[in-house]
Amino acid sequence: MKSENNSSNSSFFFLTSSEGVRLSNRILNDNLKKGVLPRSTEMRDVLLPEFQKHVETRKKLKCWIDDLKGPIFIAIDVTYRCNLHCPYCYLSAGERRSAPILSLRDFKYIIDTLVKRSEILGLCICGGEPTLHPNLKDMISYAKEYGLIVNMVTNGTLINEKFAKDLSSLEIDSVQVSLDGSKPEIMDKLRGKGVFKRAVNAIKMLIANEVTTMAAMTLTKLNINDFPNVAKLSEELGLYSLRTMFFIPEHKRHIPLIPSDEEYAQVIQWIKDNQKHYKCLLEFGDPTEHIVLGSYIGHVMISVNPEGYVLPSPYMSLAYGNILNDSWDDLWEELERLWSDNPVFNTISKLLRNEKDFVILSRVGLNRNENENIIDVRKLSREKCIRLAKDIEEVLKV
Amino acid sequence: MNSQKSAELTPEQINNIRKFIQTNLKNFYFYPNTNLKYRIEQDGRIVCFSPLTGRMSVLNPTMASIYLSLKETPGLEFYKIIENIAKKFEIEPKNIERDIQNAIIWLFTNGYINIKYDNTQISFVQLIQKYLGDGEE
Repeated sequence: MKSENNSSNSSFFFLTSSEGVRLSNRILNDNLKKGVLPRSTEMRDVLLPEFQKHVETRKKLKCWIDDLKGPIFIAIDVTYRCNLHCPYCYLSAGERRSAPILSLRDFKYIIDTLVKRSEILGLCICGGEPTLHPNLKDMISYAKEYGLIVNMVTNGTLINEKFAKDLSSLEIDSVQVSLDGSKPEIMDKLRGKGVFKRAVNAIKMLIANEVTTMAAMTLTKLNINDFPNVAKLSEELGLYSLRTMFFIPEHKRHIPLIPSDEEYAQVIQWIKDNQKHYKCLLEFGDPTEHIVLGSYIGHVMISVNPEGYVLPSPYMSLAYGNILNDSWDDLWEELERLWSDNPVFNTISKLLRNEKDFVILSRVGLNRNENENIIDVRKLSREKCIRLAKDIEEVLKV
Repeated sequence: MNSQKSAELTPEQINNIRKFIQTNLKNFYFYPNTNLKYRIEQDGRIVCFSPLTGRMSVLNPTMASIYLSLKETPGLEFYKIIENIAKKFEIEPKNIERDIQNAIIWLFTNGYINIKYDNTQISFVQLIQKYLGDGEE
């Protein structure tokens, strides 16, 4: 920071900026040394003033991510259908047999709009389980024709040799496979019989076909102690990275699955101590960071569900507009300042204490698990918005 | 595993690499890293994403000008970059030489541009590998 301030006094300076997330990681990790878990929600008092300074400096140097043409990445949930029934799924995707899927036509419309109006750089294809979508390969191909970076998130169970080869031919940039344990006894208990073997086979086939492959591990009380073994397995398999984060409970039945803070601290410390021995990048994230820092970082990435609703956070049933029905230019202008200007989103940004509060939000009908019906906040009157914000404030302040 | 561990540079090694770049800056030709995805914002900033590192960053309009001038004419020398920028921003070249030097080093060490010397185009990562390889010998 010192050199930045010096440079800002110069009449002619050059500086660049990351999205600032690395700064927050540093601040959060510094606090780990004091025995505080790196949760952006619980660290607001320390994190936000430092982040504010960082943003002001970057703005002065004209290298902050404000007033953008549009988001840089888009995550599209192409379907909420899933072939697995994981007990901790924040979407209950396995139970949504009748859930709508995004048509290829609508997918193309979304990509056309965001490339032409906002010049997005990348796309993440998510779900549900995207490999269940009948037009998945057409979607990847269409996005690649635009030169987009394309990633996909999958449980891997439906990826066979041919599928892996096809993904490679389509030049997909990376695939993230869920890996919730280092052996069948652990992962199959959580995800179903035979899932571990199928996921590992998928990883092997993807890597053999030169597809950059990553893994994501959902940490629960039942598998958190297995993290070092999953890291070792990831290294042996040749994965590019292994990602994990705080578990997101969306329903009371998820509460017994939440790891303790001591268990989280052990994993985070283990990563810090052992990363240097691994080629595989080990990452621990905070799923609430985009909410806490929302008013500073805007919407570098947006999520869109199969019906076209824009979801400012993938963990709540709150939408802001529908990309298939609303004018994208108008929508983007409002989305940029949503976390600071809209009473509903601002209240959540200010009051969410940690990821466990998503269960509490179910009291006002905002969690994903119970609600297949999305609330489009853009359609609410100002009065209704304020009322909803007050309801949220009441439950989060308890 | 060993190669991963050996990639950790000591502060002294980092300093040596920096000195090497500074000393030879005027002998290099500069090329843009064509693997980067980027877009130009309305005010001239560039939003960049490196698929290799997963890092996203924003170049301010001046830094963006250097990167774009290399996209337009790959293989520019240091003095030519200064000349281009000075012309664009209507500034005396000598007043910006140091700033441009820092900017070029930043762009190189962060993977935005490659250098060519001894008839070989190399990235910062390749330079480190070469340096470490030489060191081990």
